[in-house]
Amino acid sequence: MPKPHRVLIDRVSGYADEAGAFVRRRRMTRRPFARLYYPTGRSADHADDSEIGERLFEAAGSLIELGATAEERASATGRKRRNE
Amino acid sequence: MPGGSQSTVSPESAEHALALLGEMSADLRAAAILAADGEVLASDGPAAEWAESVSSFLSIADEAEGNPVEQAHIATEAGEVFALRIDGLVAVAVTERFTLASLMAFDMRSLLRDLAGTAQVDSATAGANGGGA
Repeated sequence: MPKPHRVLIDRVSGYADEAGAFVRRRRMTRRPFARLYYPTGRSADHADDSEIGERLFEAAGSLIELGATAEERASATGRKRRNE
Repeated sequence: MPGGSQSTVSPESAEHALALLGEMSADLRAAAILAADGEVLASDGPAAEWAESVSSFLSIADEAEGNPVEQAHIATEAGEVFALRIDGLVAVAVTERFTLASLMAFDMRSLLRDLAGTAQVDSATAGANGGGA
């Protein structure tokens, strides 16, 4: 029969392993990506360090900024959607 | 432009569709609907800025492989961008991070299809009435 402190250590290291796996999975899902789909049904991923990927992320960034501005404006005026 | 012929959609219909998209998608921050020629039919915020940003984004996406894209999904730490071209219309949506991509794409696709369908009915009615009022 294992000593009580060994049981405790095993349990703690078990939780630590679980937490580590969770963080690793979360980091994987948080990784930015750029995916393009074509009418033929094909899709292509572009890494953020490739030339096209870099430009896509930059263009998407300006759209996200635009979206944030629109959202702020909508909440400031108390309206959900407004076309200008 | 993939997805077929050009549609003539009224800004009122586009604005209504945009409002509907906002109701359907809880994670939506802002969106715009554009015609194939880049004209903004409805948008959350300044139309000119949307026109410029969307045009730039789509031209880069088209350049990637030399073919026009039908759909684009870019996820960054700050948010996500979805763009969809269908039936001569373009929808672009900016959402929160970790939005369910398949649901967002489905909502945008059905929205554009409905909008294009409405435009066809409108033009057919106008044709039957001798080219409109």
